[in-house]
Amino acid sequence: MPTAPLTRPSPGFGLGLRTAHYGAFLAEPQRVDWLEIISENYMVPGGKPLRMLDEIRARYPMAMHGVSLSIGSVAGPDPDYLKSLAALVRRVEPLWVSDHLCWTGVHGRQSHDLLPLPYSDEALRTVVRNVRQVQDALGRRILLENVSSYLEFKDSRMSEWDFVAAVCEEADCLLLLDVNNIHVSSVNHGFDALDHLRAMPAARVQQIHLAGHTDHGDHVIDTHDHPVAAPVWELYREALLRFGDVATMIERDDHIPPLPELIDELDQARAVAADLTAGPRGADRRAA
Amino acid sequence: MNHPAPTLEALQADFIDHLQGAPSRMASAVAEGGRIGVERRLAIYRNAYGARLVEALRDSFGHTLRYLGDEGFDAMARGYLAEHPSTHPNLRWFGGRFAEWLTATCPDDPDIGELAALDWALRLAFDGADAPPLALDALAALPPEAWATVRLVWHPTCRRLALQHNTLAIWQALDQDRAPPAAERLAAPTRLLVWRREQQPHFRSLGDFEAAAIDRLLAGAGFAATCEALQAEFPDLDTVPETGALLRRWIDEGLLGGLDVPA
Repeated sequence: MPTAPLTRPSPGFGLGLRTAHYGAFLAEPQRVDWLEIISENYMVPGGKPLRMLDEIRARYPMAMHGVSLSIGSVAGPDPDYLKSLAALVRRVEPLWVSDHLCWTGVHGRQSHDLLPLPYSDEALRTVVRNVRQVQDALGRRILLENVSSYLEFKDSRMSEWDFVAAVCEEADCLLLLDVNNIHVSSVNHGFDALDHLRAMPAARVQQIHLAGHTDHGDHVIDTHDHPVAAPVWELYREALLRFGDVATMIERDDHIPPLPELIDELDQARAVAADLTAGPRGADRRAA
Repeated sequence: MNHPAPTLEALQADFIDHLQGAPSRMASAVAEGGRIGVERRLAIYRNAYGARLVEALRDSFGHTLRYLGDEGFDAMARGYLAEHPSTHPNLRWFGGRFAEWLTATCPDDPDIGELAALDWALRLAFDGADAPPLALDALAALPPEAWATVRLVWHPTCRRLALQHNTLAIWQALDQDRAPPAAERLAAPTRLLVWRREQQPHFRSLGDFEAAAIDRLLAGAGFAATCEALQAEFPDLDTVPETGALLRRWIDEGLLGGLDVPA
């Protein structure tokens, strides 16, 4: 018996909505299929941020991407945060809601950073419990994104990719596959990025993130302040071969260039995808 | 001998301790190996933590940053972070006690705390709650008998600030990239009203009469009761036309959000 797919059809190629581009998005239609907002930027009482959000939402489909859910915290999700997130979901009616597979604070002590988890059974149980609570509160599956990390714990009992896959399956959530983060972590921890990619649950990959990083020689930092790097483009191609037509967006959070530059970069992603779907070689490889 | 693995509870407490510069057992929890050592791996997170929170304050306190300069501001920001680590999931609220902390930390330079308070008040006005502005028509439609009890509903972003120093002149100079004047204490404080007007944070200073009126009305006093009290306080003024003119001005400026006529 055929089962309904877990993911929604891809809306195409998107960008992160940043304040510097509000004017451009309102002035004329842009070659961007959808936008991703940072949820917290609009979890404010009112004023210009929400006005701009409503006006741009009227023109573009939007996904919501949070940075403070702290899904791996032993304390569980903050009830006030969750209420505020649910209110924004009602306002935006997003394509989907995502956050990161990490923790950002515990018992009211906030780091405002995407901190790594040990890949242990206890961490897995904690995340699964929290995801279920969030999904119940929002009445929908959420997406979790694999994060960049700069350290690993002695307590880890499995690989990062096995942990990510286990979370998705056991919590019944979806995956926001950040291809740049796989690359960054593979350099920082010395694993093969393809091993990570191969372990991802194809049926649960709803979205792909592309971004730039900063190479410090002996380690790489996920800074989102550069164009997407060559090895990340190569990994993106590999991801599309495995996961097919997946909604893709480019994140830029610092040194934000004029919108046309980002759209040019988005066109590179479009070209990678078009090359795979057009060529018989691509079709063969995907079927294989 | 192998130590038992710390619980996730203990590990997360340790990680936050490490970020905040407190003694922690993090070094013993992190795996060795790879091209960089454990200490450098931990330092990446600690440095990112400090930098991100300082950046959040720079973002919210632009004029204070210009006044103190990068180095001076960052030192203050790090001092604040050490004493008031963030407790709200949204970084937006991290600066809520910075002005108060600056005032307590720099007793010889109270202008710094006042400038930060003005920056923060404008930041609050920027994304404070919305309310549709009161139209002049609504005033005309008010039945005459309602004037005895009506209260004015202020726009939710309205906030009063009293500046004991020439902080306003300092703010304005910084805003226009001019050298700020030397700080000095004023003979009488500047009474400031801060709010959002047409999507932009806005402020202006108030005269004695208007400040007295607004303070009573913002505290919830009825319009008629306020007029009466003002007449007693300013016996030389004809307060009825004065207050009427203010009312029209407040409506023009989007300061009012409605009329509340008690049943």
